[in-house]
Amino acid sequence: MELADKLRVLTESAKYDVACTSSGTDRVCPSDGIGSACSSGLCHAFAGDGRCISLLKILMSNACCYDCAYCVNRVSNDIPRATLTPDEIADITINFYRRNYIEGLFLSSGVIGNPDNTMQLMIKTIELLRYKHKFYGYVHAKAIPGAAEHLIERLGMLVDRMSSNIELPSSDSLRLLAPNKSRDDVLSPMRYISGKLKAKTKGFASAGQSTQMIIGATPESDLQIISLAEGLYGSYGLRRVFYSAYVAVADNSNLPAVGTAPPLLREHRLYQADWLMRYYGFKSYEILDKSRPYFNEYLDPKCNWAVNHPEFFPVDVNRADYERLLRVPGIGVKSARRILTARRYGKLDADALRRLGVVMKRAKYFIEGGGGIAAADSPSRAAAALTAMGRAESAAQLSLFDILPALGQESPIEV
Amino acid sequence: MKRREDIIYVYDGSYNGLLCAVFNCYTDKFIPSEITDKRDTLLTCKYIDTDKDKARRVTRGILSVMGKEAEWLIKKAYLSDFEDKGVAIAEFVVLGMREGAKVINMLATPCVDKIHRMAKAVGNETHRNIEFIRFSEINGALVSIIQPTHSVLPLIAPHFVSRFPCEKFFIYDKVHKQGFIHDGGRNELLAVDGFEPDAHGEEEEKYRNLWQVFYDAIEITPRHNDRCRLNHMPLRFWEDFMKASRY
Repeated sequence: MELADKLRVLTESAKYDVACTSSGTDRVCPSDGIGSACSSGLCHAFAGDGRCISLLKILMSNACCYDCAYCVNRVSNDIPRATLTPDEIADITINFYRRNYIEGLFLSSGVIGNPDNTMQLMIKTIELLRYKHKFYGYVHAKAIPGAAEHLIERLGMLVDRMSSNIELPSSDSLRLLAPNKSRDDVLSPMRYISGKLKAKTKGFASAGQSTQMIIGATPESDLQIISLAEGLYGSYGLRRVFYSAYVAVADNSNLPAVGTAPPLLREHRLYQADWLMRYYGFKSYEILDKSRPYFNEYLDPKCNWAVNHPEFFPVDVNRADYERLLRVPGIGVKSARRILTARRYGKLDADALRRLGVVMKRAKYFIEGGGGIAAADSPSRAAAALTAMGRAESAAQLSLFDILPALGQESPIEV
Repeated sequence: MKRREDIIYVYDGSYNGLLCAVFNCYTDKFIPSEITDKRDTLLTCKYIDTDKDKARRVTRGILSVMGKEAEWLIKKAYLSDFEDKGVAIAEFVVLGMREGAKVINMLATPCVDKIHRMAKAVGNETHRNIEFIRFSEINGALVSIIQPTHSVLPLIAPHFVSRFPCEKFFIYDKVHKQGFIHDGGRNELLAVDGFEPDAHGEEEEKYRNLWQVFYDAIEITPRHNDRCRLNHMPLRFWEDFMKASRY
């Protein structure tokens, strides 16, 4: 097979993994090296689906011996197979990097024979990059479920970020759809990496670890998913949990039929909830609970919380503390900080708030002073108005990355 | 300070020239309707001489009263292509000399807001150029031709110098007629009138094709979303690394 064909096959096989961030590390190279990393991450292009391309995201091999039903690379699937050599991967990475096409490499792989063998080949590739090519750019590698701990450790010392994908949000689903992987296979690399990170092992995956869950392939509720994510942020100290709307690629009676549209709205809401938990001080039980285990279709989770908590509002923009400001729909992390700065020099009115980046069409129902129209009946009026707004917008903006700042996938506040 | 709508200042386009225009506001005791480097207008023009000493005095004033961060905002605003940047900077300095270092936080004041917006536009354009420009390898050196909407070459160059210490590279800004060259210990920003690179070779063609293969394959087609892509990546950058006609 030609190099270009191999690259095509292995990109096709890697693309369902959503993580493509290059953030979390700051580094410059010595004068005989190549490459640097910047903590906010950089995107170098956006694909036709609007997703950022930051890293050369490929599999080492898609000749996988496992048979996970949801996965395009399962052994029973009739697709072209290819394997790149460590030299080929290092060469493409360096040459893409020099041309400023990419920020680094995201290397994963199907299971070639067994997990340890696969990890050894991945390690060899990244050693070539780091030692022979003196590459100091960003590298993200996947821990192969079931691989030996000493291999995970070696890989961890070479890369910026490690991830091991949970893929399915419950062990029942895992048993049903991924017969070769157990819950423990999936969680034990994560636990091991998290132990290393907590011990502050120098040089070990300095940008931390992340994971991914497939959404909509199995019957878990939104509440189950965000509770699991919250648990992972808490107990394993993950930097990111990614959510991937399931693209129906397999004919299997336990899965949605081929051709079913990916649940993009659900994925969008999960990212919104994820942001609320990481940056806005929300707990999962505030966002959803047993009586409402699914997201509202037309109201984003923050608006939804606000209209259900009239006792919290109105918030006085000229006096309220940061945590209270953050709860107001239309005020984000940046605008809340700017409000705190700006109000030291004078009272804020509606124009000033607009200049500070507050989205007044949402915020006006919930604030006092500064052009707010909060009144006794405003929670119900807000609910009606914001739902109507949500209906109008919902058709237009359902893509994963619409919720992220305009400049790239990574928000600059994420470190 | 009062405004005079019937007079404009014309300076030579340099940073020092702009600082001298600000110096003139103080001696004239007004801010003119425009501070520009274009010499075509019906209004009365006052031509500003660029005098290093006056520029240094203004810089010293800015640094001691308004602080380093304010100076950085002013420098970034100066690199922008906004036509009203001259007056905006003059107003900001006049206010800042009265209010001190806190001026940068007076976000609700129009002229402070304006400077922040200008600096932000320059920062965003810098970021986009760091992300989206492409190099081609030509005769052993990396070459890039860019067309930024603000004069950001001086701001993007340090990023590539620290990233590619061993490479020879040349970035040419076609719009502002500037070039930056990095070769070993040499780092230089030059005025360049025009630049036509040699044709690229087979090796370069190989990696361009591989990139095209990768780019096409990475898309999840059931999620195709032109609007989202366009939001993140303005069309003017596409030509550089994709054949725009294909889209």
